[in-house]
Amino acid sequence: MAAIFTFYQNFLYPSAAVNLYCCYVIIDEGSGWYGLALFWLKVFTIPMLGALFHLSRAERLHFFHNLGYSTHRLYTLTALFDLGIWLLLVIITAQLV
Amino acid sequence: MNDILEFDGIELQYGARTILSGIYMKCPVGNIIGILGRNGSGKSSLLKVVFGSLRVPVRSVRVNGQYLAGDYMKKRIIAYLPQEDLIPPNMPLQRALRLFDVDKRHILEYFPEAEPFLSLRSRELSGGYRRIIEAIMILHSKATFCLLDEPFTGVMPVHIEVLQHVLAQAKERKGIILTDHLYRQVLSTADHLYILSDGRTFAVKDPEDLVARGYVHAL
Repeated sequence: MAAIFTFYQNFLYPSAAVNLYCCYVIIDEGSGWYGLALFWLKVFTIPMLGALFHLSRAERLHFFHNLGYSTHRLYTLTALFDLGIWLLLVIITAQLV
Repeated sequence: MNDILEFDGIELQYGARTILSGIYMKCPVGNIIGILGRNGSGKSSLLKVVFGSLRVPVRSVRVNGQYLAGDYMKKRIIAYLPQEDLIPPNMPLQRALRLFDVDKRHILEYFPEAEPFLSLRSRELSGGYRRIIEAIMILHSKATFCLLDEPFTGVMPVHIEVLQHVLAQAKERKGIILTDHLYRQVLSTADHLYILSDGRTFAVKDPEDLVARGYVHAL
């Protein structure tokens, strides 16, 4: 888990920007049908960020390979972790508005 | 009996060009195996294939005769020091050591001058210091076998001696395969030597073989 969180830090700022935008839309427009659209926005941005990282900084993966994570496993677990954080934030925001 | 890492049947092609084809090598614990070869001969690719980070359609990597199938990285039997920097630039060295489960005393035992660097981020170190710390970290990881791609490159001579000492100590509990263009250091460190040429490995029985294979003009 520490390795996944460490790897996730590579995406922290752009991912946080997407999450905050989603929260802003929910606060502004309500949770209604936007929820589904925001879910697909998040699902679309996760592989985009992963692809950008892979194209520009793939050599950094060796560190995580040595920790026992194959490229596929590393990206999958990090995507799920990111999606989990997004879901948590969206649920909390929806309950507050 | 000591553990043995063996690999063969590795086929790697880039387009029409065959990089690796007739490979056989074995590395028992207690040995340092050196691989030499001209630029582009496939040394780094070979290490990546054995480590598991470069997938090829055909390969056979075995430990004690047991075929390593699928995603065997998670078993952490093999550690790999890549040619590029290992530790991500923004990562403090202490965190890297923690993730690798390596006690900082192992670094300081051989390399006491590293004490002030351990609180720094990887990018704040000079290339030579970073390289030796990364190499020591890999050699003290839990993996039984270590693959080192150019561990001596960029390291100043006095630290190369330190690294050779660490390698000599580490081989008592590990099998180590290393490749570097600083061939004199490889010659003096390795117990067995191979040269990679035309996609195949050839055992080097005599340093003169390096001349015969076109790796050096003269010794």
